[in-house]
Amino acid sequence: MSRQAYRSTLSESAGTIHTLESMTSRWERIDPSDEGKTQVLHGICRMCMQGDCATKITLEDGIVTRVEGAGTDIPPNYGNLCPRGNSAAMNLYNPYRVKAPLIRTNPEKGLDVDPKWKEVTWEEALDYTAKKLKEVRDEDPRGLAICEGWGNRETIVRVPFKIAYGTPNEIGAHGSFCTVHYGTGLIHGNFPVSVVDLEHCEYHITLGRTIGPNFATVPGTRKLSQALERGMKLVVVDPRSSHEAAKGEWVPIKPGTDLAFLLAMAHSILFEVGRYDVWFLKNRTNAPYLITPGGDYLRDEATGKPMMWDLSDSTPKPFDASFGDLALEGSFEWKGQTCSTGFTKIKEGFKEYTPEWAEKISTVPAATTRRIAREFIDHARIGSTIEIDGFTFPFRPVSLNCERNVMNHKGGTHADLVGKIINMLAGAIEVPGGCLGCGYRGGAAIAPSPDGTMFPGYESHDRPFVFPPDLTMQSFYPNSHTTPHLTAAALRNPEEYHLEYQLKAWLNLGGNLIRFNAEPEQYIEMMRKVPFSVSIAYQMDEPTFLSDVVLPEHCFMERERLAPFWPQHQATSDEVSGLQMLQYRQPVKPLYNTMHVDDILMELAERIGILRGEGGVYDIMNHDVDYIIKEDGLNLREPYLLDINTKHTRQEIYEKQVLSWKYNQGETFADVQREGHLVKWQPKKTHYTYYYYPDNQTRHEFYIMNLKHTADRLRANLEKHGVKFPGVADQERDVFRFYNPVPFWTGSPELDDIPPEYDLWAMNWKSPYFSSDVGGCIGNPWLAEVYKKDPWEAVICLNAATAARKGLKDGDWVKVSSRYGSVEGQVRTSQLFHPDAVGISGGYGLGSLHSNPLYRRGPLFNQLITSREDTLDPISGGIELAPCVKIEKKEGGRA
Amino acid sequence: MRYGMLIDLNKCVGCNACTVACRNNNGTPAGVSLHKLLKYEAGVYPNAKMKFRPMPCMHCQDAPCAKVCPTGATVQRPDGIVDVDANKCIGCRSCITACPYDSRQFIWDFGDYYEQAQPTRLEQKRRLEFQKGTVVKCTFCLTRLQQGKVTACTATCPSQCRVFGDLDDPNSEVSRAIVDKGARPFREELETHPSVYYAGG
Amino acid sequence: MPLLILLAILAVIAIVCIFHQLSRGFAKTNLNDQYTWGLYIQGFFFLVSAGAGALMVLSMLTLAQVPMPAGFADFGNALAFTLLIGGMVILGLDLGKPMRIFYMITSKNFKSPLIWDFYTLGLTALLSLLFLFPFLSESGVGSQVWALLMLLAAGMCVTVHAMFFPAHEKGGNQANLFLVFDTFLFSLSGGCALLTLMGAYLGLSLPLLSRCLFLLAILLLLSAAGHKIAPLRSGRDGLLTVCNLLKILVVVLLAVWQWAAPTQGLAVAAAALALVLLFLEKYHTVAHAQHEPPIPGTYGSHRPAATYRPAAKEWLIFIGGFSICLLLWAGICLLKGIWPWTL
Repeated sequence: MSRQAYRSTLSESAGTIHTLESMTSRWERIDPSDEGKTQVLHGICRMCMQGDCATKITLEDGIVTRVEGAGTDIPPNYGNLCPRGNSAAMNLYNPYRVKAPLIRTNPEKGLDVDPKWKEVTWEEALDYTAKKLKEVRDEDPRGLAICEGWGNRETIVRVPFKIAYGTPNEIGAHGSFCTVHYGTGLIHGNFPVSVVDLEHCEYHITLGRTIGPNFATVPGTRKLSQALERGMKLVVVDPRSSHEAAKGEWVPIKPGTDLAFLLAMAHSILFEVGRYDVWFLKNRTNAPYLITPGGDYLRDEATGKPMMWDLSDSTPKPFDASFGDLALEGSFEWKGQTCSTGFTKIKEGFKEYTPEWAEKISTVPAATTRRIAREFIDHARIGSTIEIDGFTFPFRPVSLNCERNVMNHKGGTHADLVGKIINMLAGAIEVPGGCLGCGYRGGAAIAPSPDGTMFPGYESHDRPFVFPPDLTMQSFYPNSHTTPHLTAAALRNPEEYHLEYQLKAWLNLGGNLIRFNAEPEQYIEMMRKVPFSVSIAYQMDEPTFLSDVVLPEHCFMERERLAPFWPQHQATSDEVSGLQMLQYRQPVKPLYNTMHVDDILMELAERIGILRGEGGVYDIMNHDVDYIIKEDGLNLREPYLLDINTKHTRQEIYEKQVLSWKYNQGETFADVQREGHLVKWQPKKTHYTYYYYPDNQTRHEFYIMNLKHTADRLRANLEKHGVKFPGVADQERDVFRFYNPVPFWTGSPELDDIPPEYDLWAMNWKSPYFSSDVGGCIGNPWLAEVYKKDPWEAVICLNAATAARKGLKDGDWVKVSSRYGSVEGQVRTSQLFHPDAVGISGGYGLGSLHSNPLYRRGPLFNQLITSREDTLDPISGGIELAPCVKIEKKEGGRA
Repeated sequence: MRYGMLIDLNKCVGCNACTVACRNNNGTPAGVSLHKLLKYEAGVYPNAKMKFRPMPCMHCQDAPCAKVCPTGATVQRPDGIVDVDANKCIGCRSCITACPYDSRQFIWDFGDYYEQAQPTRLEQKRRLEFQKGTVVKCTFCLTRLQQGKVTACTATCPSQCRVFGDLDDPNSEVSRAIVDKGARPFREELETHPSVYYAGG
Repeated sequence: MPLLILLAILAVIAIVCIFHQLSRGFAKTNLNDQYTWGLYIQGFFFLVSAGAGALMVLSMLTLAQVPMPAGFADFGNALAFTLLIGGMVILGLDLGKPMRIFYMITSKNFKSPLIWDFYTLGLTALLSLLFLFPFLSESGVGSQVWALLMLLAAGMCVTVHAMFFPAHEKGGNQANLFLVFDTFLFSLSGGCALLTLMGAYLGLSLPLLSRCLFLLAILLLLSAAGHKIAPLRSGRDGLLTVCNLLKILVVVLLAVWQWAAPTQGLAVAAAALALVLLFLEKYHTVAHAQHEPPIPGTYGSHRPAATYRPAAKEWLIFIGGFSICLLLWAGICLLKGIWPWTL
């Protein structure tokens, strides 16, 4: 193929049966009228899950030559851009993209089996797909499963499509490893996670996550950099001395044992430091609520309200009565029962979790745990206040934040909750300097229920018990995130899972269960068995490779987008507090025969007959509310609703969205297009939800009654339908035991009674080059050039002393095996790892016959883990991410 | 006017945004990078930390590369930047052997970004700016400087660890930061008088 | 005759490879970012060092009016000339843009060792070329003047080569005394060895050369001892050890030749070894010196180690180039009518 063909046009070649070579050698379309022109476009980056950095795209002669941060005054990245954002041009100019609609002609499916893709026109592909989906819908719409994931976070039609179609089975590929939402939903009424207020925080403890640097998110790194310069103390509890640990104190910990550390830290605060925010506990939590021996609140007979104990007259009163001397701690006799306060229950429950006890499990020295507990409370400035915008807030400049590497273990939900309890002991919830939710900043987040405690939000609020269950199996895991592994288990074993219908169609839209879940073979088998599968895809990833139809979508730079600002996953500070914003991406002209994902979905919907009319996509969109920021999002409202009976272009939808926006002050979509953004700063006091329900107007659960209520409902539902909990041997021991309002040390199949040769524990992390494969970063050659020079990337990291003990040298080829699978790779000996840890970063490896070769190089951490039900955290359904492993040298391997 | 840079190693988080921004802005061919970031570790467990050292060209005031260049392709400009005139370079590579900071690279051949596939449109366009068989190096993004901007690596850094400006002006941000943070050049003992200063680390 | 045919075949292969190198650049060589100089530069140093050394020896012999076998100086000068040309061609091939070589004249950067090399090598080659013509080689005073100029020019050329060692301990190239001394001695010994082998081939004998080689080898051993003592760092260098052993072997062989068995075989063997030694020494200064990356290892833990083994094309050009030199030498001698054998 001539390398000089600079201006050849795309030849549409419907009917061709493609090889890898013919697909990758297809030249991009260049518009000849762009010759000699320079253009600058407003962009929004999408090279990580956050996807909100404002960028500036420069085109010369129609070719994107530069992608950089937009102006230094534009939030949230203020002109900076991470390595992935800077490599975005390679996402656009990627020969391994899917460039035209394809239909499989080889019925045999496998990662090394050529599908013999036949290129077809869009008409044919859409008609065929819609016909198949309509058949499924006519029979039973629940037969369609939609697998979404980080590959596409920008579609606004997917959810309305799903609802209009009538399937409950939206399966997030990411959920098995992202069970990090329970605590945030319960305590903050927010989604997805809780973050630290880096504007004011003085002491921050971070576990199992990043505040920015570990995987180079721009806004988090900016804020952390400023906070450290201000003098904030950072403590990083992690088996790995990470990029962030280099900026503060590193506390090495054995993988998968954070729950023990957290329990000990809480114990130390309660029993040794002895100081905590009594005011906060008494007024803003259910710690003083009286708990009966039966486990429920002691309720006032007249009003049904939970009661607290007044020491001044030794009687319990409803929580909203006035008290002479409210008891935080104690057990009291009332009408023949001994009731204890929630605080006492927690304290008693944590009594055995001394720092010495924890040290045996986590290897964190007891003295360190004690010191950190004391420092945390010392820095919390309990009792102090701060005034913001004329409102007086409690000021608690400390925060402890956990995420994936803490929560994705058996007992992970408990770890999440103990972290919240620790923050509550310091009073650092939703106040300046402390721990805030990273989502909706309105009052509804923490509005009180009739019990006086706030309504459990998002995933802490049980899903309805649907029976027969849907493919998601979330009836049995009412607080889970997304559960694709349970779907696969149910399909293998429909009787066990009480599944009464079959999977008939699979629509893949951004998810990759095969590479980024556990035990890939189960999903390959699932895709072999499903009668029809279609993938709306950017590149030939594993699920796309196994599909029947491929509908190629634009890459993100080609994808027009209007987006509201979602507060960020890592941290908050004055750079974004109070920010409400719309962002707009001006699309680059498409290089290939691709379509915008929302156009694809609308075309499919039209052909299936679910686009218009009542209950159609437009109707649903008219009533859709932003999941994360609720009424602050781009929700359509009167008088700007869509006419549900005509077809609309995306621009029409965007226009109405802008006009409907809560913070619009007369601007139109054209204004947003021109500027690239629309910024509306709100008073900073509205950023802390304490503002909406101050003092004792709402309460957070300190004693996690929500777990008991969920368990009661679940048990009742199982009994009502006469079924047992699927997939486990003993539902009391394996499931209900965990729904305990007092978090406890659950133990883990990876820590207890393991065969002695499994003497190490594997761990995984995201890196600056890999933060989930959003934007296809694994295959991006600019990033690959850089990560190949990174000592700890895509290798098997081992503590140097441990390696010496095992006779391993740096560079040796080794095999790491868990009880479920194995990987091979090169060893990297390092001082940066806990002696018991084996570290493998990112998600490299696997791939298919038609992959970008970079996708085929391992090692792939996911091959070490399992999705077996008895290893999951039963509350969140999360997969264990620190399996015990053994390591041995292997001869004759090569990188 | 003498351009110089300060890099605060206490703030650098080793993300390589600078390296990729450099590739993005300068369009260097596959395998060629005008910027590098050294990542290494210091200490012994449990007191071990990741260390980072981002390195553009040091733009030495007494540049060994300028000294050995036989055709005068490498010149020291009055504004302190050491530049290579690709039209004069004969590709003898003595500058590479002379440079103690490993800041220069020879374009052996034009590889493709995506191995085993074709060169992308972007490459085809930007290759026109380079000549096979010559040596390239960081020029502190001269084109951007002429537009009044700072270097790409400085502009993109998420932790704002870099300051770029006029070393001859004692009141410029970079001059004051060098003094305030006690910044020194890397491997100062080599006496090439770099224009890039490092603080912390 | 068979030798000439072999040389011709090698020469043709080399010419093909040369055209390949000129059109495709560095494709198919094993040079990389860490080893930017390889067999081409090593070959250049080897050929020029041997050639300039031979010229220095010839000029010293001429100045001292030492009696040489008839035509010896002509043969020697012609051979040295072809080696210098060969060296220049290989150096030109090593450039990224060989066609721009004359930019070196327009620049006036006299701080650069390469410029000095360019001029001194040019001068040496020019003087050598002039000596090919009878008006110079057969004039009495003329050849004395030529010898003095040649000694200076070739000596400068070799001195300049001492400045090329990549010495990353300090910024840029910094020679030290032992290295300059060594370079000179190696060049002279290479020259002696070359002339001895040439003499043996032609049936002309000049034992003085072997005695000089003996002395030079001893001096090289002394300098090696200095090398061992001087550096502050410890560390074993396997290649240097091999070189030192070769030096010892040369000394031993020549000692035996001098005092026990003055057979030509020993002298030839010693001369051949001396040439191999020169080749290895040039490898040591060029490739081996690039073994350590410029930035100390502590700043880049776990960097994948680059290696360099010359590719087939590089070997073919070097060996074939050497063959071209020999064929050219035979051609010049034929033209001058001094070739001892008929074709």
